[in-house]
Amino acid sequence: MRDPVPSRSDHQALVPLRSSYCNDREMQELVAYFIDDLTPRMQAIRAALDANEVERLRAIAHELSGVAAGYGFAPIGDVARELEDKARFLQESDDELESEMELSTLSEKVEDLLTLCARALASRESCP
Amino acid sequence: MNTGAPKTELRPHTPRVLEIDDSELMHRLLRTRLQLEQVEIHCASTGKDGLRMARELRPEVILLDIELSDMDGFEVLHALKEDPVTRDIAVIFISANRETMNRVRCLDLGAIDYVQKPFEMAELKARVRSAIRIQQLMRMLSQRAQLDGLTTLWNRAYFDQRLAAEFSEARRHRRELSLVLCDIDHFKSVNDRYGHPFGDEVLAQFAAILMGGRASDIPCRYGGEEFGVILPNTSLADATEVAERFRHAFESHTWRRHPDLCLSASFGVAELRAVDASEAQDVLLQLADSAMYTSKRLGRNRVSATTFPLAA
Repeated sequence: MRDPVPSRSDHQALVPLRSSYCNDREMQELVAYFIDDLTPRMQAIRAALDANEVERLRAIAHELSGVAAGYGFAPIGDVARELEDKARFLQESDDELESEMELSTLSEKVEDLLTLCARALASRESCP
Repeated sequence: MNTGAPKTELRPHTPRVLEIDDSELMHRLLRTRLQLEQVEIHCASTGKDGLRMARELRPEVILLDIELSDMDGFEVLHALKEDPVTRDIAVIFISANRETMNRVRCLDLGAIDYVQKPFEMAELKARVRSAIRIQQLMRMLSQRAQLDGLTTLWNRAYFDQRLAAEFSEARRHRRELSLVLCDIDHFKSVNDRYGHPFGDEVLAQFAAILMGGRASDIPCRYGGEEFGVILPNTSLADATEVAERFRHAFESHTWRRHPDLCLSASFGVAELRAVDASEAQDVLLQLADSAMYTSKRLGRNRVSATTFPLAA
């Protein structure tokens, strides 16, 4: 089974996920912007999951999967991509049983993504 | 200098890149990452805004995301390729879609390149540079194909196309439009007597006089020793005055190699108001042409204007 998901409110307990562009002068301001923008984004993801809005989840994941690597957060992009694929699969599937199983893996992916985002948030102070 | 002549349009400027993507994160990333490239970057968030900005800015390159909120990238590409103003812009698709057929479709629809998201910035920069090079060459080639090699005036193909465009613009906005046709008198005998190199010099000199006219006029080499000048927003009286200045300048030119030689040209002027609403631009051309033949018949070296009763 999966590791227990760390508490989202406790950033201190998380291993910070630093941007690979941490030391790239050109990118410092942008990386900070990306991190600051994560909090509302995480809230939107959480809200979409709670409301079962698969399309909204897919759209948020789609944006992150395209840009996260550009900001030096490739792992966020990778998980976002998996989430996007799952959401699209769920939207296109009309098999109810299959959909139910996918919905649970979807929420697992959402938690994975939220954890990575929380770890990126925790790097706010450690990235110059 | 005459802006109707091609020179000014060939003037190099900082290449413009328009990015059409609904992600603010992508806009910021590209603005920062492309800031050291020699480009001017503009961003649009929707397909509709992107199309409007493409018309206004005429960028060299468009970076186009396939998934937009209001329309899909294929529709945007199609609209860009349908519009003569934006047709020659190099479009690079940016998409997360990994399917081969998707790339094939983009390229077949007229995109110049395709970049897979997420992308390495160094690769995107290199692809943008490459697209700018190709686009500038294409723009130059299409312009060269519309230029007359000897005189560097616009050629007949451009003249026909531009006259049609100015004709319909003037009609739509109820503006004036005049046309001057000119023909160098006894050009064949000049060629026979002084040789073709001198004949070329005469043509080039005549072209230089036409290019020295007003900035808004569009001088073209119509063929052989015949020239046409399109004059937007110009009445018959003003166009006649412009033609008279050309006539005078050519008549008074001193030919260095043949100081005793005096050359002249005949001019015909017509205006849009003399053309019936049901008729097309070739009627304007015919009117200017017959006015020019009137000048020839009356003894050459003169300007004749169409003497039609003016329509309302």
